[in-house]
Amino acid sequence: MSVVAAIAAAVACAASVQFGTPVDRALPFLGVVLVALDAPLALLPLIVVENVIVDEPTRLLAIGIVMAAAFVRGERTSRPLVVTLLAVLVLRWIPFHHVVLWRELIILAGALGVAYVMNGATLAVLLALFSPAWPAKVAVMLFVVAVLAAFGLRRVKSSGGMAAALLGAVIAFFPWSGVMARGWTAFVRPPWQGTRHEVRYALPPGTTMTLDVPEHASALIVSGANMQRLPCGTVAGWIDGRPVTAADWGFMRREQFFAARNCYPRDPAGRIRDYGWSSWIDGAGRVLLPSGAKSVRIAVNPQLPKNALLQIEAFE
Amino acid sequence: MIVAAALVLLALPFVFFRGDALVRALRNEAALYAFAVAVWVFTRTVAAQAFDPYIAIVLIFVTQLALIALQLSTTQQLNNPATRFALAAALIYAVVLPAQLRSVIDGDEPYYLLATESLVHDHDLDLTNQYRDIARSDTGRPDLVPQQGDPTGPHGEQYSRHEPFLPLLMAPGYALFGVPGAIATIALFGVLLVRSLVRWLEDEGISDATIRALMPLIIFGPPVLFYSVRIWPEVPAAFCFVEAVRGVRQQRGQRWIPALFALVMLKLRFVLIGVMLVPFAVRGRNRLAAGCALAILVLPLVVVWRISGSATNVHSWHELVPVAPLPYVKGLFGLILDGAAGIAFQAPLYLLGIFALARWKSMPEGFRLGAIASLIYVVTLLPRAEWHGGWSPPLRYIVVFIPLLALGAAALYEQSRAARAWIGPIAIWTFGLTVFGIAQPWSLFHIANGENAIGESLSTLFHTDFSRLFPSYIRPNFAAIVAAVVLVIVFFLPRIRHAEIIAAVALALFFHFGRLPGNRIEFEDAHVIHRGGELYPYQYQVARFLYRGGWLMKRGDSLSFLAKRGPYVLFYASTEPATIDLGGRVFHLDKAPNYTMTLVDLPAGGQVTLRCVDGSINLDRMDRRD
Repeated sequence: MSVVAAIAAAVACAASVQFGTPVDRALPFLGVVLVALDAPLALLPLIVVENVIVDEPTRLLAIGIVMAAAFVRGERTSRPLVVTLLAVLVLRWIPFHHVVLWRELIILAGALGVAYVMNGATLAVLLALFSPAWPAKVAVMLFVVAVLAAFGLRRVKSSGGMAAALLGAVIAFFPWSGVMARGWTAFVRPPWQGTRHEVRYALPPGTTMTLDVPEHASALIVSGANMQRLPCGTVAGWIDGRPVTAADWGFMRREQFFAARNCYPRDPAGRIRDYGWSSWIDGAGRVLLPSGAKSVRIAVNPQLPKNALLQIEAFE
Repeated sequence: MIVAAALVLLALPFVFFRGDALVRALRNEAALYAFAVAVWVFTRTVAAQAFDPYIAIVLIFVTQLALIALQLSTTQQLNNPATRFALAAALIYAVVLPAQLRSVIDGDEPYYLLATESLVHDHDLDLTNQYRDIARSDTGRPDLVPQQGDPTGPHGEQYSRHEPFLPLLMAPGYALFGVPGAIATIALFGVLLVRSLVRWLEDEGISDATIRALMPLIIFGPPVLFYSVRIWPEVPAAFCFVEAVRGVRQQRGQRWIPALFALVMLKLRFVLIGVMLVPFAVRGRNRLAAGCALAILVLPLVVVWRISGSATNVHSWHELVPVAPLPYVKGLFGLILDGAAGIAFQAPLYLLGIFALARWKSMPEGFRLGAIASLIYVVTLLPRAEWHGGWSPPLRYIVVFIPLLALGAAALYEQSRAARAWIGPIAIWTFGLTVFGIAQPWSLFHIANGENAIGESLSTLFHTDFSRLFPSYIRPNFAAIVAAVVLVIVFFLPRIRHAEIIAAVALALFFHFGRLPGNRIEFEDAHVIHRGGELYPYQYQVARFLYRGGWLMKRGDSLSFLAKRGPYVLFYASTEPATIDLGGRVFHLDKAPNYTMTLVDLPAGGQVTLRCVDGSINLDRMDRRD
């Protein structure tokens, strides 16, 4: 009967999909997850949210909150292995077409191993959330260590109210689980965008150029290309003689993040891109201009690697 | 108010829990606050649409209440639940009361308050000077005028049609604290109602676990919550009803005599309850009790006669005479299923109380006694055009029986697995209504045009007719027939499994069909995009539901709506010949002082525009002909 219920839930959710994001399209899968967690009641707000909330971030956040409530309940009533399996699928397998199956199966197996040893889902889910899939050997090693450590931590309570709340908090933001795992500083310093005047220059090392500052512009939006290996604080160039640091534009992508040595910009100006485990924030940062400046002189550090570029994205 | 709400939420766990349970409750509260902060921060991170902070606060407040309710349902034991729930009600009503005062008092409320002002300031019931100086009244309604048919005295005195007992009760509170004091009096009755109801449930053998599971939905949900913080006689009446029935059951004259007296004094219509209850109260040859009962039933008639010159006030004895059966059917299903004014949509918990009637023999004796006592009242209410309550929060005329329905719901909850399975969806819906009513108190009043707040919101959002999917017995539609059939089936076959899945599939179908065009276009409805013109009759027309609503258009006005292609019958009225352009086709319509119909044709489906090219016209509706 549960299978019939799961199919009915999936069909009801599939019929409700109104938007094209991977999270919206995963609604039938989320419906099945709710039935598997024995929380079919959550199907009702899930369907309502999908149909009623037009604003994308608000809708996805609302979907996350509904799922979180179901997982909080499930953490108490369902078996840890089931909860872990479902939580890892929700956190890491959306969007499904981005999933590299063998890498994710390694992480899933590791998470289930930790959950089995700990007899609780929360720690396993947290490990799964923060585990890199690139390079795979790190993921494997991490989970071997985790499973071994879990034997030692078995006495630590991995279930109960706080554990459930922690699990819920993680699941609530699953539509941006990638940002949560790789760019948690965005919670402290959220990126924002003002009115922009696009420039779009990509300057190789040693280049200098002068740009006229548009009226009312107060900042320059910069980022790097091929710079992910450079450590934090590396001077990428100078603007009117003042040193400028820039993070690689894509250093928070899941494939690049583990190898990258960049830092999240101090004054972030990037956008959240993609969804689920694939979501990331581009490394654009904001450099304030001297007040009243009519033009700025930009010089790119000649010491940068040959293929590195300093990208002048826009005035703001 | 935010601080007050936070303090109340902090205090509530101390009312219900001790030891580990208390720690858990406080931890849950703290976790929810932390989570709310995290969500708020994250909304900035992902640049989510700005959310109305007031609604957000209400949402957090009600979610905290829901968490406490959830924990209560799983708690092992609760000592002295009547007092604890009453204390919780007092705390909650103290916070919700100022929230309701964000909008001016409405419906009959200003009239009750005006009578209270008169009692306090002039020590009389003559409202002439109150109406004269209405701008200085605390009602906040400078537009207030006497209601049609209000009684007048021989020397030009102006009285209110409403019985003076409620103003009398509110007078001390009003004298001390003004309008909040007057409403606090009602809230006090709400607290007393909660206490009495828990006692009654206990008396009737309802288990502690059931009381813990259901009472939060009763206290924190409509209609008790909203009628407890507004000026209506319904909640005091519900309290008196419970006490009267309890007194009769216990054969305690000290309980039922004052309760019944207060009940019938609150509103003349409650005499109909007294008439049915008295034979059960007066047993044997207790002449004193019989005399008291007779006096109780006669006294309100005398009071009303003294004020208005008629023992029935603005009513007539003819209202008690049975009429044709159809209005009874409409009223009965309307009270249960109507989207705007029915129990199923406005207080779904009490739907279980209706289903409890199907298990008459296994219901507690108090339930059966109460149901019998309500019989004449309900039968008299059903055929009335105003069965839905008119300009008031939903379920006005049956709030008095809410304790009775609560008892039935509780008994059914204990006896039926199906009833327990439905409690989840019911709880979600109930707390949703609570959020809605606290966040937008003015929305509790509706013009009774056949739509409801959800239907209107969805119709406005999608510009398709979602309202047609809600059963309406005010403006009967096809959904009303379907809902009535489903109710009858469920009534006799209450064993339903996988309630949540069924509800989810139904919800998905609802949203699917809601986006498709219907076969009827009501031009005044929210899904129609109006560009010019005005509502007919205007929104605050007294007894607007008695009129055939429509949309008045004059030359240059237009409206658009989603429709299927094909032939339609257009219903309209017009004081002069009019010309309209419907989807690119021009129609010349004759003058029609009374509503008439004409055939029109839509060459193509989709979003259709109707323009008034010449003259003026009152458009009622358009029905598709297959």
